[in-house]
Amino acid sequence: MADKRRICAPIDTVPPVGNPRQPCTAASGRLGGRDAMAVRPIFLETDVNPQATGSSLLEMNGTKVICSVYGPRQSHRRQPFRDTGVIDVEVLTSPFAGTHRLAPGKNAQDGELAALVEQALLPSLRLDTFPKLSVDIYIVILENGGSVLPAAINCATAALASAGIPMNDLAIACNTVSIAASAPASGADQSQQSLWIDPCLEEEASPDLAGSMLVTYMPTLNETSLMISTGSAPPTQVTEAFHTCLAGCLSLHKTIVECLTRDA
Amino acid sequence: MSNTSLLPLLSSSERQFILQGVASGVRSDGRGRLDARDIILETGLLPQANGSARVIIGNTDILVGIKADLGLPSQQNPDQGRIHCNVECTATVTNAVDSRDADSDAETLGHVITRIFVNSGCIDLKKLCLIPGSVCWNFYIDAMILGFDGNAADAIAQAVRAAFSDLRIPRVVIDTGSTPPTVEIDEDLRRAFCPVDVAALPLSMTMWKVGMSFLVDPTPAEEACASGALLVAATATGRVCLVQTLAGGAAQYSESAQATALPVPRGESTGAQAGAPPVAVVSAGGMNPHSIVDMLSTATEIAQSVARKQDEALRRVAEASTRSHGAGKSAHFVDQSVGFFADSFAATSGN
Amino acid sequence: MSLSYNEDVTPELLRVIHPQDYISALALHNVRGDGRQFDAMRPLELALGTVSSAEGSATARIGNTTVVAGAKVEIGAPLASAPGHGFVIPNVIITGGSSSEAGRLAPSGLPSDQAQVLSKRLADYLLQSGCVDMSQLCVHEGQCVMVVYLDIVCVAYDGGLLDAALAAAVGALRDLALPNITFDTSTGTASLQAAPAGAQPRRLTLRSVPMSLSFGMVPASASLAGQATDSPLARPLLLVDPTADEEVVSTGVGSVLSLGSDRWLGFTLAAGTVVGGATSAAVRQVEPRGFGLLSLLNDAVCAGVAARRAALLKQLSIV
Repeated sequence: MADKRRICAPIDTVPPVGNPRQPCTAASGRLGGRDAMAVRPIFLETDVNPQATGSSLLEMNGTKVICSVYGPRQSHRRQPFRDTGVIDVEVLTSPFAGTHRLAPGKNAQDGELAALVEQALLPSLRLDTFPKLSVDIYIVILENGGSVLPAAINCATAALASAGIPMNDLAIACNTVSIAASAPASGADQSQQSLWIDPCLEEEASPDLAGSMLVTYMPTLNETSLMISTGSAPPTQVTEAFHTCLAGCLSLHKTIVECLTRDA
Repeated sequence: MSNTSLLPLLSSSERQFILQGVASGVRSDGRGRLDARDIILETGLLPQANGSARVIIGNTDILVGIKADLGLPSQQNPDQGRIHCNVECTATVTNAVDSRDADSDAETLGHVITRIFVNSGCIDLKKLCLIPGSVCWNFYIDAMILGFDGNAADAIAQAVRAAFSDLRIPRVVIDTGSTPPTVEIDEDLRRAFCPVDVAALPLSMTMWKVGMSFLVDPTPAEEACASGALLVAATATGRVCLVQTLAGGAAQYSESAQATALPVPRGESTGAQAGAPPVAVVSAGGMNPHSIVDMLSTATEIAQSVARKQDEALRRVAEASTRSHGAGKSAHFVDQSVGFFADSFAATSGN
Repeated sequence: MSLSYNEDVTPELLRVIHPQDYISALALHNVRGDGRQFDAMRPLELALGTVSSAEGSATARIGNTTVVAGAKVEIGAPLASAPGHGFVIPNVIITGGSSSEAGRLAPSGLPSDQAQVLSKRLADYLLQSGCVDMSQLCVHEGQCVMVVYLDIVCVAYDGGLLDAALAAAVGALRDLALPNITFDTSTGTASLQAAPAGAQPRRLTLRSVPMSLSFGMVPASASLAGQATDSPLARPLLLVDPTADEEVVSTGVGSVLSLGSDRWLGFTLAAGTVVGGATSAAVRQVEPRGFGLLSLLNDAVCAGVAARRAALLKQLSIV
């Protein structure tokens, strides 16, 4: 039973109960009174891992992600013949990233995150410029303070840029949550919903959460590479959330480009 | 990642043939861009499952079983039941070199189904909890791709929704007097009931971007040519439960970028460096935000009408079964179902 | 001699295709790839409290090696043999992106051989050094103790991983704010209490600060055997704090573990062997037991240990 590859505690343990973090509600508003359309300040540094072809560290107030990019190089997976390059994304969430310790080893969430990051990045890359080769992208989520998937995508796109991988554009991701004044199950009218951009953990865990949306946008191409929503809403609200995300992507794009040109 | 392990490898001339056909509004099997294939629906095929359904679209053949089980609620949501979705591919339908690729493709479809039916909040999970923190219903949705002929995600969603309509779970008696409270299952299956409001469940409709146009219900060859897709899940009342972009089979191929690069380049900064050959990248596999908004409303309307048609079909299936008491409950529905949207769509997409 | 190459072979190319000759070529000039002397170590930087989701955390950096350690506390019933003792469980994770090979050596989710060895070593050192008095982790004797899961994530690898991991681990333990857990004997349940505002969190008292300094042995270059005996390559080279490149060409990589200015915790050898090959002559002189090898290795290691120790203590703000 015990995992021989790791050091295990000789006793069974559970996380202590009692959650000191209070989730945000529609009544309490955003954490720290943040404006609905305000993204958290970004810290982005490239070339944090000189071993890698390109790397970056992205911090957004409680969310910390490191990405290392290697390649283009020979793929270590068995692949059918391709006349274009491939990318290989691996996401690892550190055991101490969340509120409770994550049991080490591969977990389903990391796999799903990796597939989504891959989908978000693919259209931004010029795969035809490195046929048969692979660009390996390794993402480590050191700390989950909310909105990890967009942070992982933004970190990876910055690392790809710093690695000098041929790209069409930067793939910039932004997410929103929609908060309904009362629980959606009670059938309350939907006009009360408000959209919070770039939510933190307390906002993502809100009991008033009605839905969320993530959009990855390539501003120069004017194309969206990944879009995912959760929750159910009329199409008009989905469209509104989509436009809010696009606006967020544009403002993040400005910041990330500034960081990249500063480091270059 | 798209379901590349299911898609055929195409030569560039085959790809060109499909792209040009789609661009002029004719598909290789004679359908228009927004014509869907007929759907054959069967329910109640698996006696061991609490609910089951089979959906056949062309040669795409999906079998879904839902098994209900009493279990422990999750620590995060002690007052909710749990639904697990799993999609599997039979070995014969994939052409993956590495079985892990086929697994990861099936996994991706499983995530999509989870998002459509679970994360959207369409099913009230609180109703599936019997004793908060200790006993709840666990539903295991297992979808098997028996045959693949394109459009797997929509077909699985169809089958899962139909399987929910067939789902019957026994009534339970909760004895709160004892400590700890106990749950007793009512063995009389005549009192079994469906715990889910099927009318409120969504159906998905995926708009595949092939070249510069969008089409529904693709064949595998068309999926292989698609640069991307927009999956929209909506209920019969028009609530959108999931919007998700999917990667198409051509997301990996540079030819598609060039094939669609014929019209005027949009972004002047890309490929415009001095000395570089003019690569007019119009679409690299992403989708224009305007077309997403257009497709969202089109797909919602279509999904809505398909959901209504499925409800109608399920009603016919149920009637047939009460008359015959037989196992073979099937219905054939959606006759070129969404064809009538073709005109309105052509007007909005502007191509 | 073999150190002559075609002009087309740039130093950078030589480094990749013949790493040993690259290091030898540099050694002829008494210098290493990054410009250090043989006995010079890279500075150790340690920052505490770098991950706010962990109860205790630290980031250690040695040159291009970066390691992040985070501690999470869980509770459980103690062992009957030690009813008042908690546990510290260290695990090293070498991420796929930490070096160009790491992602290929270990399939995702599984620790590589190197990570498994390091985890075991760290567990041993932390226990043997007695740096944490495990009775500090007792909530209620015989009923409930705390288990500190110390996960050490290597995000960038360029040698000296044990040194960095140990420093980060000790840093995270130093930074650890023990959660305020109360145990209700009547119901047998433990619960987490919110710390009163403004109160200083309870921290662990570290009884000692284990630290390590790695070194690598590069064998004498056989091709240079005929050279003058004062050539740096005529005898095995001792490289203090080797980088990943230097570790690859070293026939022996070891670490000195220290607990205090004159207290040695131990001495390890890994990744190849000092016995045999070029250094067998040196090892023959080693006392069968004890750390006589240290004096043989040279004073520079001891000086390095002392210097690093002073830096570490300063950064841990223990003087």
